[in-house]
Amino acid sequence: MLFIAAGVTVLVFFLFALFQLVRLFGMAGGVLAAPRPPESSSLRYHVLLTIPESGDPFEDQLLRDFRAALAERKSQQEWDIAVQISERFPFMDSRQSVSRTVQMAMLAGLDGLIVMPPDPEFGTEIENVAGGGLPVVTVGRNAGRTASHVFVGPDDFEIGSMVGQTMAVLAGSPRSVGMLYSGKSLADANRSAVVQGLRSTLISSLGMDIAGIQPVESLYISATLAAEKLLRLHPDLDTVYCDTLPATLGMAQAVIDRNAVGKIRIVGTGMNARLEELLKERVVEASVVFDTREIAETSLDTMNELLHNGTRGSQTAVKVVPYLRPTSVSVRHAPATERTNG
Amino acid sequence: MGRPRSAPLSIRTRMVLYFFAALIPLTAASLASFTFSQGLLRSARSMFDSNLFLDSLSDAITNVDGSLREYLNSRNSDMLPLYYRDSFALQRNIAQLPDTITTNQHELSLRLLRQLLIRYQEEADAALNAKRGRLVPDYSDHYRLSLRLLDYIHLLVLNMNWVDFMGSLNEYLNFSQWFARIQLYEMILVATVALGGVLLIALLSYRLTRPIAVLADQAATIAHGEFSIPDFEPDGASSEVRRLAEAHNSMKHSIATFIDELKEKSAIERELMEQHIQNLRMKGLLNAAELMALQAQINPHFLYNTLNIGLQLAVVENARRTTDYLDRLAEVFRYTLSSVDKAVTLKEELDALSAYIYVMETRFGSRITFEVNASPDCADVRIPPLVIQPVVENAVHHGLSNLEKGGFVSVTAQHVNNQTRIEVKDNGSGIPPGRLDELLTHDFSAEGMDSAFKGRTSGHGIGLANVVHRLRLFFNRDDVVFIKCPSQGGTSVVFLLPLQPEKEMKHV
Repeated sequence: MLFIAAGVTVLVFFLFALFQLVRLFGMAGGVLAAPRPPESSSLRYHVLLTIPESGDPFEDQLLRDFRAALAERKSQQEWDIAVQISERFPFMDSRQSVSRTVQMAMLAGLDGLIVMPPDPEFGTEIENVAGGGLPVVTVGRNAGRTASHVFVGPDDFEIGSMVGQTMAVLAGSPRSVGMLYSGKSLADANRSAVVQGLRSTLISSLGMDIAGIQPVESLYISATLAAEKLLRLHPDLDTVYCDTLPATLGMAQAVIDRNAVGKIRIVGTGMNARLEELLKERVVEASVVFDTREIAETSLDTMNELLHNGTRGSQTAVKVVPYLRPTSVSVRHAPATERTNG
Repeated sequence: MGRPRSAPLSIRTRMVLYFFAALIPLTAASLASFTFSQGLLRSARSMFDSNLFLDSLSDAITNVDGSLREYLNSRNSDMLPLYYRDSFALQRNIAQLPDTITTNQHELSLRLLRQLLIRYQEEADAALNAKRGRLVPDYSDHYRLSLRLLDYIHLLVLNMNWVDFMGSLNEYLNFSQWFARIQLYEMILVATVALGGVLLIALLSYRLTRPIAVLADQAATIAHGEFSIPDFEPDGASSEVRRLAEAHNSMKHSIATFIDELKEKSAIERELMEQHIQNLRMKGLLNAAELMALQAQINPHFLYNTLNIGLQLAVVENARRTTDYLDRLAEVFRYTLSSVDKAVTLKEELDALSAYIYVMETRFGSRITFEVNASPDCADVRIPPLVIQPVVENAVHHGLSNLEKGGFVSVTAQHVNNQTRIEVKDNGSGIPPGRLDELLTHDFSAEGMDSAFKGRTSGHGIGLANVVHRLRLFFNRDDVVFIKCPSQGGTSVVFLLPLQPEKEMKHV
């Protein structure tokens, strides 16, 4: 009996250790032989993709969707396009890194560039590169439409209109609307399509204009300070639109700090776990969510068209895909109790 | 009906199997660990190789830039060969960079680097040519652009090294977090394999030695003469032990059979010896009886021959009564003189007895009456010769001879309770109690017989004692003769003879 008990005990430990080793070797093997997309050789076009890594979840999600789209798309080989995803340069901020990458692509004479502008002012640099004959597709963030490059992303004017309509159906009509705008200056804001769309809808639906706009950088701390500034300058605001995730979170924090939850309603942008909580707590009423996968797919399709239609170097032949389809933009509402219009 | 048992494995096969059972998991774990360690090493080596190559590229382009700058700053062409040398070295490095467009990110980065290097070299060459053509604004523009490209190239190399480093670091970190656990479980695996090996060895030695130990115990038991132990069944034992067990069992059966045969043979020999001894005793008694008869009758042969002569005379003289008397007397002598070492039937004994009775009736007349009643089914019972007549004679001489009249002797024979009961009964004076014990316990050794003959004048019954002793020997049992002497007189001698004598005497 003792012998059998000892044998069974040893066997149990042996099988347990063996099972664990097989499992760990499998996991470790998965790391060493990291899953990589199927590689194709002898492609025709070398395209560089660069997306800023400023900490904005939208950027991170867009980059992940690009990777996923490239990994899943066997048509990459059918297109004859190899997309090199540029890593952020060390010891540089996001804007500098994107800027250097763009210049590098131009100097190296690559076949195409897919770039997400770090900010609206980046359009000038893109215009310079595109003007040099490099096919460029800008994604996610519009940096000014020109004839020499293509933008694939949300329709800012439509977003502004959608936000205005959302505000109109919130419980209790807004008395005063403000906005945190991700840009450097008020002038830029006034020129931006999203502000124009929002303003147009508010005027037509509620007969009011935007009471105050506060430019903000894409940083959470900066956004909080900008939100407090906006609320301080316009104490009568009861509805605020924020066009980035950091701006939304910053405004929400400012509202919480002022103990004004329910008094100041927020329509934000983007989505993460924190914003999910804020939506449940009704600190944020609604958020504009972008379909990043759709943006990635469309960007690749657009670059393919640019390269295969022989448009390289010819500005006039560049096909402009100005805006993403409206279905790619959705507004996620907080669980409303008094919604009158779905 | 059980499942057919598979052929048992040999000791060698079992040892090899146990060995592999212990070794294979350990080897597999070690090989897996070795493989993954090698993979990690290859990954690190690849990263270092890539870093070294990129560093050599940076050095090459830095050299080119240095020689170009010195040439551009100089007023002569002394530095030109140096530039060409560095530029050639750079070209060799560029030639090692891939130009194919693939989906591999690292190769795309190398291709981007290659493109930048080519562009740099173009701008550097253009600056040099502009300097040689003394086109100062041009070479200044080209040189500035080359510097810009140089900056980007260094940046790209730095970035690639950084990415490689981070990738390898992540790979290592990811792997190392499992590696510690892998080492732990490998230790457990090794420990369990070692313990399992010990247990397997213990099991192997136990299973190998247990049947042999049992076999040794059985052999020791058999050595003590105990063959009734069950056959040894070595369940699960090796083929060698099974063969050993089969040989052991077969040997046990052979020895047991041999010993049984020896015992049986010994018993037979012992019985034969006993029978021989009995025969010798019987012969001794017969000889004694014959001697007594001869002494008693002086010379039976002489008397028999004489009687025959007398019988012939009686026949010649037509003396019928005398003829009958002599004829019966001769018959008595003939029976007495016939072979006494062979069993006779009861009928033969009673026929001889009737002749004797005739003689006695002639002698004693009406003083003694004889009566013989024998059941016919007792005729074939085999008995020693001369066992009834001596008893009748004893009754006549010692019990009835003194009677003037009314003497009676009866002989009956019948089957009673699976025995033949023969009784000789008289109404004589009987036998004194002391004499009766003497008869039943008479010593028939040589000394005893001498004593008997010496005391013959003073006591009778030696013939009866002889009969008692011969019957006991013939039937190989003591309870065959019973003598009763009632207080009112008379004697009853009863033979209770088994119907089937246990050992029939061929020579009595």
